[in-house]
Amino acid sequence: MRLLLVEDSQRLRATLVRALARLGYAVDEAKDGDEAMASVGVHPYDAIILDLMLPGKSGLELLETWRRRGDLTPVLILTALASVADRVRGLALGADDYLVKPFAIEELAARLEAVIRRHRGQADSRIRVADLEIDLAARTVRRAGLSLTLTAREFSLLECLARHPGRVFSREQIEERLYGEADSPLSNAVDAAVYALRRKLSPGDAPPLIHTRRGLGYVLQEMP
Amino acid sequence: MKSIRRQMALSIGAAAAILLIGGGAGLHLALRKTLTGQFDKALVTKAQALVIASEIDDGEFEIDLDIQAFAGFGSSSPGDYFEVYGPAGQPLKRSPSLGDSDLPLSGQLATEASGFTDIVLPDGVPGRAHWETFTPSDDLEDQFRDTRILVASNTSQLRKTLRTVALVILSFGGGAILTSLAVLYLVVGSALKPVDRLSADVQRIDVHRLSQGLVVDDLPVELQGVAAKLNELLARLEVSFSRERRFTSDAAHELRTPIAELRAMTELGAKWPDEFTADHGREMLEVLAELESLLETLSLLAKADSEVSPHLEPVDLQAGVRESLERLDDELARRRLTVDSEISAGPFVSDPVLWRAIVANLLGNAVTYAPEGSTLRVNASPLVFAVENEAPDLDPGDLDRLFERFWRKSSSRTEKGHSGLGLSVVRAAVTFLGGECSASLEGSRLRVEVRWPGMPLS
Repeated sequence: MRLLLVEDSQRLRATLVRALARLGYAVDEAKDGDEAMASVGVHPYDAIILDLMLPGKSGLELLETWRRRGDLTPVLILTALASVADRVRGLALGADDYLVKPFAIEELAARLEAVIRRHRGQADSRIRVADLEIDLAARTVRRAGLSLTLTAREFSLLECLARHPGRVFSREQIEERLYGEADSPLSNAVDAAVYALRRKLSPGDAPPLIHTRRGLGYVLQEMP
Repeated sequence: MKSIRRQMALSIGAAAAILLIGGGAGLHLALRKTLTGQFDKALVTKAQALVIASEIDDGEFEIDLDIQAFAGFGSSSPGDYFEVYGPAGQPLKRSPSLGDSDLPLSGQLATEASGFTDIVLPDGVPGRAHWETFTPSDDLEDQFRDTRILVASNTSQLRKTLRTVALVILSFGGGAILTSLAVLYLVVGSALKPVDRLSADVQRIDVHRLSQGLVVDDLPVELQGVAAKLNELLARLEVSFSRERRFTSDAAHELRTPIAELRAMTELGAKWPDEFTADHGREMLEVLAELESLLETLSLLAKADSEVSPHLEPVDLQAGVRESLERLDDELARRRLTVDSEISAGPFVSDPVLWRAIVANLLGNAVTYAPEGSTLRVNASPLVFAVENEAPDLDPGDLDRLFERFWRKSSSRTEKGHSGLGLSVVRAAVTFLGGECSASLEGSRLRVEVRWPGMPLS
């Protein structure tokens, strides 16, 4: 899942990028409104974390611009402005959630997960495909009741495929969602990741769930 | 509990009661004197009629019976008495009303020639007597020289009249006192209504809406001053409350970002120890240093806000400014800034802590916001301390807000460690020390100036 983090404090930005990467998100960073505007125009994001007090354009101005354009990417405001009036203003302008500094990274992750889920219209944080059960909130995966251990990137890849079972994702689409601008994946990184994930998802002689569509990409589904 | 209304009603009522009681007593006394005077006059008239009617007949003292009846001592006047005593004190004649008894001739009656006295009449009722000494006109042989005549009358009628008068005065006076008390209570009450309203208004004052104040126009003149003064104090209180509230919320806001940074860094290190490097440690120390300096600044502001008087002592002006500039050397070099300074020596007195804060903040501010490669001007003398720098982003409208706490031209905190408190610390410290600070913009050059008009020089 790919996020945009708009935050002017360099230290907080760097720390959050590391933490979110460890949680399996691909994170792009923007230190001001102009950078944020540029990034939003280029990539599709699953969510945007937005600081309000930015040099140049303020966070609220950015939010207003995106919403006016019809961009409904979930936005989580992360700010030091704690008054009720500030929160209300942010939410009224179309923010999906509001988190006041200082905060716990865990809470930020849980709220991100929740706004993304809400945006996709999923009430449940669990996805089931055949006997595979993915809990997006707890970030756990079980196959036939057996708990599987995935790396953060593998989990993101699985999440990307599992949100639309049966849909074919091209290598480029997967790369877009899995890697931030700062990452420079090798050309076969996606194939390698899919290969590793496919093996982990089929312990013993369980039938494979990830299938290759030659020339098209990959798909997660139960083969009849 | 003391009540103005009750106290006023009681004290005015007491004054009225004393006046009424005094007046009533005076009236009664005057009336009694007049009536007694008339009574006495009647006694004298009767005595004189008897004296005129007295005669010596064959050496015997006689009083004409008709005259006796005419003077009111007939059988039809049982309340009137007379008795005549001869020179030797022997009774010569007495009124029929006395029967066999006497009007006693004793005490002053025996010694003084004439007079009046209250006596008890033979039938036991109170009376008043008049006596005088005379010699009958036809007493040729001088047998009855210094004969005494006593005339007495029953005074019960007089007493009854006086009692009635006293009763009338008493009941009228009592009624008047009670009525006036009631009227006073009502009048005082209605006169005090504005006071009651003011008191209710004051009790209704809400700590959170001090600026609402009291309605002054409807109040009587006597209370308008009080209410106006109260409003003025409330307004000042509101200003200082809201300043304090804003300061607290601004300070809390200012602390949020560094604490968020520190928390995120710590959490990252705690959860994924391999992420924690020496660089992270250094960054965390940097944040802590910023927090410390923010804390120091806040306590400086609190000091300037709350202390009663500064601790003045001689300060080396040149050394202080040079030292502050030296501390900024690295930053000056990094940003290729030049400083053109003119520091004159001279005796100077200030609070060393606040003075250092003023100099450091003004210079630090200039160094942070001056464009790279520009020139700063520093002017220091015992009378004025001024710092000039290029400020292309500022416009004249910003000058008023420059000294506000936490104000920054841009609301972001991209500049590390600049809380937007610098100039507000300067202003608070300068004001506390009795100086004035001002900012002016000439073209794109900002000049912040501190003056000490009333400062002793040594």
